[in-house]
Amino acid sequence: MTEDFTPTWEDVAARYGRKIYNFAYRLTGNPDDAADLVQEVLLRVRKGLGSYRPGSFDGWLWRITRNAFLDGIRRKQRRPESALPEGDHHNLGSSPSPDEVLASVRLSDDVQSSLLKLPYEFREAVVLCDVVGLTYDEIAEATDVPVGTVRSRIHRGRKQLRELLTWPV
Amino acid sequence: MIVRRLLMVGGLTAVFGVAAAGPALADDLGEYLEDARNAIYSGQRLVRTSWDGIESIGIFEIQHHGGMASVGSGSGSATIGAGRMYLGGPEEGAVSFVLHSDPELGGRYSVAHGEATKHLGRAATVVEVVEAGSVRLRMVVDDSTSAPVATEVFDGDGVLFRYSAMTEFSVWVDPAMAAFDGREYRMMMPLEDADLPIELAGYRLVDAYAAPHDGRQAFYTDGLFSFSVFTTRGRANWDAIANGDHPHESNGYDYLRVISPTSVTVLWNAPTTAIALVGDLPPDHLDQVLRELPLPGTDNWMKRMWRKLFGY
Amino acid sequence: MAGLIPDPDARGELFSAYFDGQLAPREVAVVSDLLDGDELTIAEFRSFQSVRRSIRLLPQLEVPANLLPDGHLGDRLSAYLDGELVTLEHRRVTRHVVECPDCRVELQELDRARIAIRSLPGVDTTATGEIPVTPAAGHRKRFIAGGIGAVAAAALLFGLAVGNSDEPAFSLDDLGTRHVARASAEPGFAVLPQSVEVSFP
Repeated sequence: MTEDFTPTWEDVAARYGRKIYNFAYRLTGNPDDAADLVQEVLLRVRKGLGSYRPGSFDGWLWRITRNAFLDGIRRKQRRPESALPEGDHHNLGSSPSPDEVLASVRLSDDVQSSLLKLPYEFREAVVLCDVVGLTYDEIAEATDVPVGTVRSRIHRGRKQLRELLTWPV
Repeated sequence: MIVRRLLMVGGLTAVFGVAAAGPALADDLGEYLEDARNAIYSGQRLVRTSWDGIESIGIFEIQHHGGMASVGSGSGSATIGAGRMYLGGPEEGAVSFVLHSDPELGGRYSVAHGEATKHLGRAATVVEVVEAGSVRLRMVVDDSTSAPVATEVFDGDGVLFRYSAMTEFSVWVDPAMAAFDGREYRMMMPLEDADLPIELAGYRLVDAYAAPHDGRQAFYTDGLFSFSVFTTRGRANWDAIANGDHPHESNGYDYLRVISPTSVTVLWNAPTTAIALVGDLPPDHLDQVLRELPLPGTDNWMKRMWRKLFGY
Repeated sequence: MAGLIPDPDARGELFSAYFDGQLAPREVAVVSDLLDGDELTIAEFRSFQSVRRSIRLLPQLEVPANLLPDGHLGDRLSAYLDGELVTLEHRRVTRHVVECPDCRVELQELDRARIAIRSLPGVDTTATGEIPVTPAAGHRKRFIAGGIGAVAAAALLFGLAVGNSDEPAFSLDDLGTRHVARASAEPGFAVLPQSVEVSFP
């Protein structure tokens, strides 16, 4: 590895693109919104990489991602608290996984639509934990709240999901 | 002495859990298994497993009562049942698994109730458990106690690979067994994320637990057979640990295999993970399972490939 | 752990955080005690596991090809380098890389990028986006079964080392024991012969 080598936005895209896309998709249920977010984040990373300050790289990246997401929502004048009414839930872009036919795990469409019914803070916390795979500390850093709040939001999100999944409307 | 009860939560799935969409275990089979679990008997059981011409035979003294079985051989004994295992004498420790037995599994098995027969002079009935049209397990069930006095397990080609039979049988158990009062035990708490597939060749990953050397034990079952996959980072020198091991070739890959009268153990290293599989599953199921687990591979192979491609 | 009986909400939060590996040892002990209680508590514990699993099993979708810089293997290269492809997929990618000069170049650059990102000042070197592994709960006291032969008893101790010290130390007897103990909770245990293997023929 040469000394002057710095990662480019393409490198970041290759490593994190999928996670960013899935973060947005699971939060919105909408592949177009997810695609928009990926492009916006990569743009901001491109601009920001030059002035990146020492710290947790993931924290930095996910803060950018989250801010871009919220900005996008404000721009489209949708309230983050609402479940997205439209969105092609079936345009998944990947072949159905065998996991979707598990007996004791609900079909991913059910899970996705239940996710969308959660209040935004809970939904975001659960997605960052279980879709993106961040630790509570990383989520706290990305969302700018204490770890205790992260823990509580994840709990309440899962609790609500449990109720939605057990007694479907 | 503190008694710890088995805590079965399968029946409460509808209250808190998510609804299962799969077929229920054939009621008949469930009943046979439940009756066998409650059977009271003792005696001596011969068990034989053969695999590729290698045979392993054991003779065990058995006491069975209240869902617990005391199993002994010349080298020691254990009391097992209800997710708990107690080793040796009263001073010894015990381990227990926080468990979840899921009665929704077992959809691929159906039961054929067979002819009347006798075993050790006692009236019994043959019960066959069928998978995809061929007999997988044939049991001789004692009519009065519901004890499985003989069993035969077949591989996918109908070849017998495991056989057991009571060579002595009594409806009485040792009073100590009947009054068995569980000692204090260490609870194994379930973990999440064994990094292994949830569904695997018809088996379901039900639990994962901590295992030696910062590893994981992932427990799989299909409602009848079961196995555990132990994984840990690093590579193990299996040759040095396993005595009486045999090479096992499956799907073009090489493993080590050790058999016992009641189980098979398969050992290998994926590139950066040591893996051991222990279970009572038949040979054809085993090969299907191995195909879907991380494959054997060597670190050296990856390093060699890298050097070949990039020269460093 | 007498005297610490959390209210239902606090209990649920403990259960939820348990599976994320985010409990302090003291809290794990509380959970352990709670699980020694009634069936409803265990069912609740299990329900959080189920829900969490439901989300984690959502398929990880592929990003539409036009969004990311082009590459034949896309983000599979990244997973390849992280050792996440440990199945036939791994061999497929290797075969492709051997044959395709463009992907080989990309692989090299991606590898350099990984190293570069990891050596950025202050970067957490474990930040690979992997799902954090729940640490083992503290119940690991050793026990020795005196009624069993000396060799087998020694084998039951955790960490019996065979081979050089870099290798994981397993005892086959211990693994078999753990499996049978767990399997004894299943219905099939009643009819399939099981035993604890304390020595091999």
